[in-house]
Amino acid sequence: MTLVVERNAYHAVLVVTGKKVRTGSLYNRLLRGATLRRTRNIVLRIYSPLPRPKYIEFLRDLIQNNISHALTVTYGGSSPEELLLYLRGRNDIDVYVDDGKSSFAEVLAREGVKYEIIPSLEGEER
Amino acid sequence: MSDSGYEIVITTDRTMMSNHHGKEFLGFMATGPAIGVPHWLWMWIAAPKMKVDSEGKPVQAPYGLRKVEAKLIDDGFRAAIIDPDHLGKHLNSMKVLMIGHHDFFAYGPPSSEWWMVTGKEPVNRESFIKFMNSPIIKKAKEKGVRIIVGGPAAWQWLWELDRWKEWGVDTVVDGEAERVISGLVQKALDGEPLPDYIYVGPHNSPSIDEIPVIKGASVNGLVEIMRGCPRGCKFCSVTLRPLRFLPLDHILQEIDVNLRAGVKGVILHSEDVLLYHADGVKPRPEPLFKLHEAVAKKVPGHIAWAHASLAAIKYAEENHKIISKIMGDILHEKQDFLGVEVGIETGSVRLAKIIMPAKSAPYPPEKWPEVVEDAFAIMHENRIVPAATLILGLPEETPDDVVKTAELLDRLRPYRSLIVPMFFVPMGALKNMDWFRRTALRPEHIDVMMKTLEHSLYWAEDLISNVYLKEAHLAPVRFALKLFLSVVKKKASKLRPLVESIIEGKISPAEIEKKGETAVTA
Repeated sequence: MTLVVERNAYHAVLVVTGKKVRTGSLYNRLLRGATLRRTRNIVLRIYSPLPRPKYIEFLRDLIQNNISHALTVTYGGSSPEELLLYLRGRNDIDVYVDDGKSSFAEVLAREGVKYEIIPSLEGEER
Repeated sequence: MSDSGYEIVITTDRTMMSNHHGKEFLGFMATGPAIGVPHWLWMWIAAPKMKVDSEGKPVQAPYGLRKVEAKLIDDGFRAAIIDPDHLGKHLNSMKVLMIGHHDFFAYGPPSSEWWMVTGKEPVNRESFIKFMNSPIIKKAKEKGVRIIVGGPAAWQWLWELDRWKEWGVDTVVDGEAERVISGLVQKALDGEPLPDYIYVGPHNSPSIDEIPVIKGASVNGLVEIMRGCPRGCKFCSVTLRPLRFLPLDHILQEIDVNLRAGVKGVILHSEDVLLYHADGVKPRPEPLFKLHEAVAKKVPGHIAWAHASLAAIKYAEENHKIISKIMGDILHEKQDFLGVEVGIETGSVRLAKIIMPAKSAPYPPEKWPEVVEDAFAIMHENRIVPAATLILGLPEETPDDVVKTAELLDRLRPYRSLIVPMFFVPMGALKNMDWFRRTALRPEHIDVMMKTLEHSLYWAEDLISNVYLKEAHLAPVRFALKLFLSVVKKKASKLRPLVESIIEGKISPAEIEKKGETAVTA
């Protein structure tokens, strides 16, 4: 069943390993993706070694700064293999990772899956 | 246990599942810790239990929960609001447990402020945490019941991730839920994976036709007359939603539901009652007179307003005599007074222009202090008693802004009202209240807080005895409240010399902290 907030949505995957990133930058990408698809519904699927809902700590700013779009956050799994399984046969999903050196990024690169690295806040005060 | 219980159970904790002795302002005591009186007495004043039927269904329930219940019932689900003490009756049948709240963890105002000032957790937080830790919730989760939480305070779960995990909450829903809730519940019943978090965007807000009529009575007869607000104040999320006016017929149907349950009064709910079918931000007399005449004819009890804006009050009276007509003609025989919440927010024109440039509309923001004072005078003359709020500690605030607010407070002294300061507490600071008290609280803030305390104490006795709680059956509540007030007055008089030292710069709030004193224990 598709919820009304998921209908005609822009779907994106985010890998959260716990690295602090510029969530504003991620949010801009999500808005751009939604605008290109002429929708105000965003579905963000999370893959993270962090258990649910602990990964939300790294999305809090993004969630609280969003007031204009419907945002559905759903947990997909904890391993790169689960992510690959989800992406199989799905062409219109943007993939974002918070750490270009993570095992997730390695596997995605090896499998030829396009992804974007969210700029890090490492070394900067949040 | 019966198998004929409900599969969808909607509930909340005691501080919300109460009609507060029929006096909703008493519910605000649930936002503070028990001070000066025993905890059990504080809870009895703030949130007494209500009668329930044989299934544990309360006679009255929070309006937001009634909307969720109504939507689910209309869509064919076996759903009901159940009192928190009676969830056990439905443990066998329950598949989905839905929990709503105005302030789950006391991070909203005024709870966070009382927490900061007293150093003690407010009772609403204590009560909710105790409820979620109760055996029945644990058993429900062990049984595989899906837990969905939501309401105006949904955002607070983002800051309580450990508890979210510990209690096994499946989904947090933030926003107007009518178009989402049935689909989500169906997914839960079908055993499908559920999203962790849903924010319902303004474009997903329900149309008038999609807003259901409540099936059971709301606390103290609250019914909404409209949703949304056109003013655009920075600190308010409601203004983002589309403006919708509920038809009179819909409003009267909901009042009928309340009357059938024995709730004799009504609270007309809106962010600004006077903007019902307004011309932008200018109140129009005809819809308001029609609304009040129809409601007054129907309800045997009192009418109250949830909120009204000071600018609309001033405009309504000066241009159309709306206030004096409603109070003097329409409601004159019915009631001595009308209660309402209003927002002063600030006495500084500079700050008003930054955070709420449309709050004074149709008057220019430069006139804001005058708008406040004129509106208070109009309300006083027409027996409207406001509970007013102001906001301290906004990021853009300067010491001079706070001084302007203090000056405005002095001018408001002659007008019957309660005034409560709300502290803008950044979320990060809530995790370290001591740090916040030491670094953010300034002498000007303390001056304003003392002024509001003295103002409200001055008028509170009059309001308790002669206006709000004068019914004979409320004598025990009056007594308990007067006891509490006497404790507060004593502490306030002890605090005055200390506060004056702070204001005169002889001692700083930080130095007081070092001595281990809080504003209340000093």
